[in-house]
Amino acid sequence: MSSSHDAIRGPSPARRNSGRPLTVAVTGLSVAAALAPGLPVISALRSEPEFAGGRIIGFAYDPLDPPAYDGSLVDACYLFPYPMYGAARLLERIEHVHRQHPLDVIIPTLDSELPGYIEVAPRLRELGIGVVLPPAAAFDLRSKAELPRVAEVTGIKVPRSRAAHSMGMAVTLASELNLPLMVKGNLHGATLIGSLDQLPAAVEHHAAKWGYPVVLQEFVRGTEYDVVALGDRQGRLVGAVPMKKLQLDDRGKAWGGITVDDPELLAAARRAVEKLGWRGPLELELMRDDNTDEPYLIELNPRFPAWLNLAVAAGQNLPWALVKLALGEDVPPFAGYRAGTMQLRRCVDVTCSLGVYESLVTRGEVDLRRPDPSWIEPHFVSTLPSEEAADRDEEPRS
Amino acid sequence: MAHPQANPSVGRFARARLLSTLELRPSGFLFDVRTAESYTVNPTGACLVKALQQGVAPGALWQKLVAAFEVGELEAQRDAIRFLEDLLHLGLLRGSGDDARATAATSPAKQEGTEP
Repeated sequence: MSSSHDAIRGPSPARRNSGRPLTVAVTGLSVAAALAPGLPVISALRSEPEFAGGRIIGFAYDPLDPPAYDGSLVDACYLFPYPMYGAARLLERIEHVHRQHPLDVIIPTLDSELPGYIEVAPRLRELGIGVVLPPAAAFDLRSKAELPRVAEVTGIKVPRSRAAHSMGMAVTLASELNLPLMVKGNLHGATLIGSLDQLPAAVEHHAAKWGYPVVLQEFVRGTEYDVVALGDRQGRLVGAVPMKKLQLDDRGKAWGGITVDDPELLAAARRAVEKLGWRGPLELELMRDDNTDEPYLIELNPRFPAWLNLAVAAGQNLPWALVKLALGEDVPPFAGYRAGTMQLRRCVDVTCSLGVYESLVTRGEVDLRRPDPSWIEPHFVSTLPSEEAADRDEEPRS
Repeated sequence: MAHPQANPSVGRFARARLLSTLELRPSGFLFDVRTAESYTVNPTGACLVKALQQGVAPGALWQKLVAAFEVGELEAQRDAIRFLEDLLHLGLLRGSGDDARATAATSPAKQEGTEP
């Protein structure tokens, strides 16, 4: 490979050799209950000058996912079946989209959909659609129940934990651990318990939502740091940015953060990617023990986190790097990032077209580049007394 | 063939009218501009909604189905009644017999128990 990237620069990556715009599909567009990573991924791609003119296709699960209504974010949006409906349905839907909007790359952003994408990945490659996904064995290790195995493979410390496959098992295993405990759902959620009589309710809550196993993990009292990382197709670290949460929502999710200069956290990310042979995005959730200052890995998430734009602002556009990896390009590691970059999340209300909603609920798809002139539009309702309304023949200024 | 007007199932819809606040789109999107509730109807449902909006009597809806689709009269009558029941269940019909009976049951004059 030439060391002079300028000398071998070809056509802008935003346009394929065929002249067709680079087209990337992004999943996880929910904003309502919790911000899913899809919108941050889209924002990161749209902020990349090399992506100018590129197209983004949204894969949504809900017709009220806000990015589906914003032509500055997505060019088209399709409703997809939930992961529980299986890989065959997923592939069928992707092929439908691909026939209408030939896709170059898909970026799945939700834990629950990754097994399906891993399963259909060979077929996606046959279709010419690039994906960068962890090997199945590495993906299985990211499960909360496998954290002790991650510690063995990577050398990163983890709190003592046990995976319970039933309530009875949870009661037995909890007595082997020190209180307080984090009771964790298989995919999401965690409850801190300070006594064993709180255990059954916590286990039942998470088992009802995500099934078994439920993971019992010794609580590490300390400060949480998260690291977003990206592995290339050979399982080498391309980029990593650590941050500390500044604000939390009521679920403990980061609502604000600041990047930190912490070589130990970067080393943990490197070990995680390289020892696991991880391909694609990854998030490490670590707690620095108040007493020992040692970092403990408490969770490994197999996708970009929702706070990922902090990494972009700090100088590492990891979603764009992922796109280039998915296109088969060699991506050199990022040289670094800016520590002390701060980010706070805000919510904004965005006016949307009811016609887009109409299209999504009736057809399961919408092309924002081709709005239908027959789409339903808001109609004017006069608030004046009828005699005054008759004298006024124009709508008031908004 | 039973005459639809003699069918007690359709009789209770005799005075029913579709909410005037419903707007039906060519896509089958049915939108209530007052409540912002929305529904999706298939082509046969759209045919029936349009007919109701045009003032076709509930008892005669089945004839619209027969005219527009390849369906027998009996099946069309059953489908029309089922559709009216769905509309009633969703609160999109006013003035049906069910509404009248519900009102009567709560009336003080009926508290002697002569009505269920």
